[in-house]
Amino acid sequence: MEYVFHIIIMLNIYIMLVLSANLTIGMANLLTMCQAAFYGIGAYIGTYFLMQFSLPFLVIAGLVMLFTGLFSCLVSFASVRLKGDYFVIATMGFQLIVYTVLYNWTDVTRGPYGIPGIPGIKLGGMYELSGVYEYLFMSLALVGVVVFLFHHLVVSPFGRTLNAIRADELTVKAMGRNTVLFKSIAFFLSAAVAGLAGVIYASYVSYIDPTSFTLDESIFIISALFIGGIGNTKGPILGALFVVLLPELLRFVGLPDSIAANLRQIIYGLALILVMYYRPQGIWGKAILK
Amino acid sequence: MIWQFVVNGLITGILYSLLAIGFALVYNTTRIFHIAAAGIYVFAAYMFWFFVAKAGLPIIFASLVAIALTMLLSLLSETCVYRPLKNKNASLNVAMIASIGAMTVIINTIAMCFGNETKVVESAILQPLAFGDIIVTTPQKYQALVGAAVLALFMFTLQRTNWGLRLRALSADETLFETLGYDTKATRVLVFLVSGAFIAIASCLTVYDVGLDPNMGMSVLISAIVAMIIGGVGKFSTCILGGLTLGVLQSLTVYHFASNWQNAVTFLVLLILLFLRPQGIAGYKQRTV
Amino acid sequence: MSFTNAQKETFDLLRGVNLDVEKGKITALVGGNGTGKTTLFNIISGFEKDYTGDVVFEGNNFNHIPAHRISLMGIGRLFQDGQLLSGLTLMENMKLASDDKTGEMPFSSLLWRKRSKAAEAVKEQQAKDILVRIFGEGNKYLNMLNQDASAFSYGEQRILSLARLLMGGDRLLLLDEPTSGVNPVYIDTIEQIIREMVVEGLTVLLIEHNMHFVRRVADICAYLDDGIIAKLGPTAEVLDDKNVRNSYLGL
Repeated sequence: MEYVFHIIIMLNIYIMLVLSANLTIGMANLLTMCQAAFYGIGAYIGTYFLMQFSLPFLVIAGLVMLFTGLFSCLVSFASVRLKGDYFVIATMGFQLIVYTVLYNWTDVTRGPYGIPGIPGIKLGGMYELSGVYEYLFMSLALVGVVVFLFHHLVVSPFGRTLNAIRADELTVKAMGRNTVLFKSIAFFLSAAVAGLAGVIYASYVSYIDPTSFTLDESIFIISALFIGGIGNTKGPILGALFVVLLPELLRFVGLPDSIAANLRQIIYGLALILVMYYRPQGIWGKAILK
Repeated sequence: MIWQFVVNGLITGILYSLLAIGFALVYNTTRIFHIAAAGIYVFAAYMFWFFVAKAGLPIIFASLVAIALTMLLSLLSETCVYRPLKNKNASLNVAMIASIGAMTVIINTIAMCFGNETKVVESAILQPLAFGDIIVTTPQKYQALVGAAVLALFMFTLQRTNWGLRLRALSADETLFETLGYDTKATRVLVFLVSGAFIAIASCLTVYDVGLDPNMGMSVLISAIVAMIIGGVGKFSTCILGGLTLGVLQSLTVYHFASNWQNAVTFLVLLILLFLRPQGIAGYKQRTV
Repeated sequence: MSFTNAQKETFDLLRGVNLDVEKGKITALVGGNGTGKTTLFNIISGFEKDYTGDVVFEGNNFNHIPAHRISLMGIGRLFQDGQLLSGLTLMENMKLASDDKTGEMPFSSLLWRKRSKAAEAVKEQQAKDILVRIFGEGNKYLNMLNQDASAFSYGEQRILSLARLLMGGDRLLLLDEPTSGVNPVYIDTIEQIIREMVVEGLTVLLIEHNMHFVRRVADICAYLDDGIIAKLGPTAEVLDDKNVRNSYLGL
């Protein structure tokens, strides 16, 4: 049973990541390839706060989201100057720089050795969460809030403006909307929630190293997003379900571990190609990538 | 001492140029952000390794077989992924996402067949050449000679033959190219074949020296794309300029700092360049609005 | 009301354009391709920053103000082949064209529910009123408010994006070729919408290649040639001018 709960916790983390990617990629058509960088920044900043200060969770979550969000300004800045493929390669560059810094700045991050013994999250009364059950409930509650808020963003006037920007940015500007501001806010919120997922991951697993926050991880997140679907809330959730549950399904079938890891990647890749061909909006999505 | 690093950088730069041309052939003519090239690169490396280390072919034959097979795989990516999407009028970003899928499939199929660990093609250590203080190893010698020859041949073909003209025309304006009665479909087939050959040559020359593993593709490809961008997008000759610049730059990073900061410096330079001069060193300015 | 602009040096496209647009009138800007008509629009509406000279609107200097703020300050714009925003419904298109941004910041419509709902309701009513004024009571678009933009034909999208401009509470509208590529059956509607704009007290400046249309709607016509306003005056006078006919219409 504990194993099932572990899967659900990881699923919750990925739901947050994929939803956060949907805000920029799905809503505003800004193809960012650096979601794992924000995930990693959140994890490392969160680890720092968890290990240095004995603060209640909401304070730490707030700080992590704020600082991770601030890093998104770099990407917003790039999105003003760079369009199309240049923007994609710039976000890949940002992802690789973050990874290189996490890996090589050993004085702070311990580099490839990783940081072990990260303390658990403390709720209001200094009660430290530990064990699968408590993280399960905490992550479920948190995902509930994130899903609610992101769904609200999708259907709210804010989501409407982002959708309009994806259709035709110049017209939206001529309608009196500061499109740069709207995009920057989208980047900020997206990064902040990815950072939140990072701190949950760090405290739950209690060990982090840079290999969890690679370009491959970013590609994995957007694969999940595009398989599930973009532009609404249920598509990204379905995508997260697909990529987290498929390995368990393969395990259930009884494939040896040596093949299973590669095989599931092959399935993700094939799914991505087929979805792009037959249903470019994703299995359950609403918008099509422009 | 510094000249040793410059020479190393130039030789790496030749390899980047080859891969950058392999990518640019597809990118300039189809505008597809051909990420699957990373998978194709890994495929070529494993074919080369397989025919040398497992089948025991001489290196020259093994590389020819690997190049031929890679050209086929490259063509396969066009016929199975890109052309169907183009026929459905899918956007270029959609094609790029599908390309990511193709890369994932190729790399993991290879990893499943040959394992995830690093392999070497030939472990014999050969006598290096020495020019004064500068030492050039045997693999480096081949990289420099073969690479430069292929680049020279390509530039000649591009400038002097009908095929090169057609290629440059297609990258300038596809609609006009079609209107003038040329067959875009057939030219694209040719483009993907040649692109596969360039990727394979870059791959074989590289892994002959440093060995191979299934996850090496993406970082090399990104360096090649960076080389293409810093040279200037839209042409082919600029890939060589960009490749050599990047190679020397990375090598000097190793000289001044350490090899593990190579990627970060590469991208800092790229970002600075993108902001200051988006058209690249030698590219022409394009109107955006 | 006037705006002036001179010395577009980089392309040397506009060299000393001096144009006063009269309030409450329809002014047409005509001239050959590449004479800088659209560039002039881009300068006025803030999309082109690289110029010298002055844009004066209602006595205020409008130089080098970002495009979105210019729109809020009372200048609306229809782009050449501008259409409805795809992926949004007709109603969402209309709402977004309003200058009122209440509820558009993230979570604000959650925190201030009432205020945001009220603002949305006002915009909805405004949109319906505009459609009724233009297309009459019980027109088909009132039943298509929640349809995606792609449900409308190109011509319909053009007239609806013209109608959309009335949401903005602007005082000057810049229309870049409102009739281009539109089926002739819609041209009367376009004329009617432009007249409606003037009735509501708006000033219209339009770029147009369809000379019959210009004759029908424009009060004043400005002929742009070789980077300057070569001729300015009542429409009939300008279009019948010998030089204009020679150099532009080729008659």
